[in-house]
Formats: sequence, C-alpha cells, structure tokens
Amino acid sequence: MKKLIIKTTAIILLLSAGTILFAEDKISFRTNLFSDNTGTAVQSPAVEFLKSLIGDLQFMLRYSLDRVIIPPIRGLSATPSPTDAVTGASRPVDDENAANKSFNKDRNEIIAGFSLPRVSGSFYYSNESDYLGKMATIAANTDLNQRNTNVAVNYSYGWDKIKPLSTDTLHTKEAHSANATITQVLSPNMIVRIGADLSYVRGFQSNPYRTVNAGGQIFLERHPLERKRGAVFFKLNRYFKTQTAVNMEYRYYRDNWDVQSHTLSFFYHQYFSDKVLFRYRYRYYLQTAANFYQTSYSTVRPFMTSDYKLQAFNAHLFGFKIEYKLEDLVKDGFLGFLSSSTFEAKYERYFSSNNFAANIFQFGLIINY
Amino acid sequence: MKQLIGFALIALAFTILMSGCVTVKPYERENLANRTMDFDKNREEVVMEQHFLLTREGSIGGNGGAGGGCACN
Repeated sequence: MKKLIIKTTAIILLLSAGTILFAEDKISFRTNLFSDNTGTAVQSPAVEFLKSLIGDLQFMLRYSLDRVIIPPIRGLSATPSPTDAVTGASRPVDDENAANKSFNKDRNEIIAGFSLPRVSGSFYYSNESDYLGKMATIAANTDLNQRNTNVAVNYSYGWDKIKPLSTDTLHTKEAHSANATITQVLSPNMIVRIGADLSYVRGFQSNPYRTVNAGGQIFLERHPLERKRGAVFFKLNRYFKTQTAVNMEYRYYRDNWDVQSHTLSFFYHQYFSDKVLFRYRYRYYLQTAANFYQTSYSTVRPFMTSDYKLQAFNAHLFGFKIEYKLEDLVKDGFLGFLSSSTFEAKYERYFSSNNFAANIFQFGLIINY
Repeated sequence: MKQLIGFALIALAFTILMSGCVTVKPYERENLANRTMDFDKNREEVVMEQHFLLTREGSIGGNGGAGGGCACN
C-alpha cells in the first residue's frame, strides 16, 4: 500500500507544471436547507476560507455541519428501509432512540488544503456519532499546446471507521480513487473536458442499521466487501454572443456489482447585466440494479440488501440559481467590505421513480478581498 | 472495467489529435475566461450536491473527487 501511494505521488509530481488550482482570496458562507417527502430535514451551513500565503502558495480551509432530523419510523423496520437522509445518516432503533421519536444527528466536516502552481493537496475529516471518515488527496495538472490543452490527475486515499450506536462492533473501510481529465479549447467560444474516474473500495459497505426480510425473518443487510467502480465523462461549454453560456455533461458509470448509470446534465446561464447572472439546470439520471438486489428474498443469501440506491430507477433534478454582485449597493461605510461580494440563491427539486422527492434551497455570500 | 479503460484511451487519443488542430490565442480568450465557461467554477456547490446524491444514487465518480464519511454506506 505504501509503495503504491509513493509511486502515485511521484507520478503526479512529475506531471505537474501548470495553473493555480484554487481561486482568488475569498471567504464564503453557504447554507443548504433540505427537506424530503419522508419528513427528513437537513440544515448544512458551511464556511470556506481561501488565502494566498508565501509566493504562489495558497491555503484553503473549509468547515461544514450537517444537522439531520430524521422523523419517527412508521411500520416495520424492514423493506422499505426506514433509514437514510440527505447525508445517509442512518438512524438506530434501541432503548435510547425509540422508533416513535425523531432522531437528531450532527456531522462535522473539515477540509484543509494547499495549492501551488504545479500541485495541490487536501485532507478531509468527517466525524459523527457512529462514523469517522478521513481522506487525503493530491492533484496536479499541466498545460500543453500554448495553454490550449490541460491534463490533470488526482489520487485519493480514504479510510473510515464505522461503529454503530449501541454496539461494540467496529467496522473499517478503505478506498483508493484516481481521476484523470483532459481539457481542450476548441474555439474562442467552446471548450471541452473528458475524463475517467476509477476507484477500489474494500471493507464494510453495508448500512449497519438497515434490515432485510428473508424467508420471513429479519436480518441486517449484507453487501460484498469489495467494489470496483469506474466512470467516464464528457463536458462541453459553449458561449454565445447574447451573454449566454450553455454547459452540457454526460457521464457513464459501471461497477462490479453490475450497477450501471447514465447521467445527462444541462445548464443554461444568462447575464441580465454585469451584476446579475441567472442559471437554469436540468439533470436526468438512470441506473440499473445491483446483481444481488431483490425486492424480497425467499431464502437467506450471501449478499442481501434493501438499499434503494442499489435498485433500478431514474431521477430528475431541475432548478434555478441567481447570483448578484453587491458592488453598487454598498460602496463604503461599515458594510464597505461587501462591495466586492456576491450573493447567491438557489432552488432545486429532485424526484425519482422510487417515490422520493426533495426540495433543496441554498443561500450564499462570497466575499472577495 | 476493461471497457471503461478502453473508452478512456480512445477519448484521450481523440483529444490529443484534436489539440494539434486548435490553437486559440490568448487575446481570443475573453469568452473562455468568463466564469460560466469554467468547469470548476462551482466547486463548493458541487461538493454539497455530491454529498446529497451519494445518499440517493448508487454511482459515484466522474466528478474529480470522492466523498466519505457520514455513514453513507
């Protein structure tokens, strides 16, 4: 394992010679408000800080909180699963967490990173009452062909610990992920990006609380311990003279659990003035079921699941976003620091063929300095 | 998995060939520099969205990074 990490890091460093990976100095505040048709609600405030240090070195620090409120469980705690919310924050049912009461859960996340002209890296840390996640990432890119072509690679290693509430059981999971992209300028108004993503996950990948009904008995779900995943994607951005930009994306995914998916996204941007930018988007998602997924199990199988993420379904997402530069509203005085700031608001609606629907609001303030 | 790697190699070859035919000068890049043309412009927003989608959909990847934590299994 150590040899693999060292080799990958060395390759990335050799390839590096390119652009700055972070943006200009800024501090941003965003909050997501999520609610779905199961009664789950999530509030996710986040703050991100970007600062130039010595020379070209930039530093990034991000903190976010997920405050999840999962409603009381109705009916049997078997298929369909009563668990999972926006964070996948599953709820236990025991003496301390009665099924007929709401379950509240917090997740704290910190990401710290650095960026140099040739390479960047970050460390991710996520902590909640039954899950500890860590991930280290290193990335690099290089420009070619008079900066008309850019090649970028990154590698991540994640290692997680899962300790279900009210048990002494400790599970672990580790994941290797590698990503490569090529960005190519096609004309003064068009640019394309293609890429591939591969990952290998080993360890506990079930939900520790989700149950399955097999042969009339209730069991905890059991997923395979290994998963090999891969995806390729294509993105195209086109700018028009009407101060309009269109972004299109397609992604194909498959893994060794036989899940395949197609994702098609479309973004339409329109400037109404130098200060107001409007965005409309639509996303379509289609996936097949995992090879061990069944709506019901007549007998006990080596692998069983009631995970809705592993069934065949399709989903739609659409929404609007507006960004407004505050420079004319506040030029000086106590709120003068807002003169280089942008306010943004977003609403999106997600709904799928497996009877799930959600509303997502996001509000943000980005202060450049 | 071999099919994916094959597809990626074909895409790579396609882009390298294409890159030899296109050279846009720096003074022609005003529109390309617009933030609506930046693939990475909404990095924070994408992070939050991926976090949500990870809990609803069975696929991950192809977006330049991976998630973790939060009992997302």
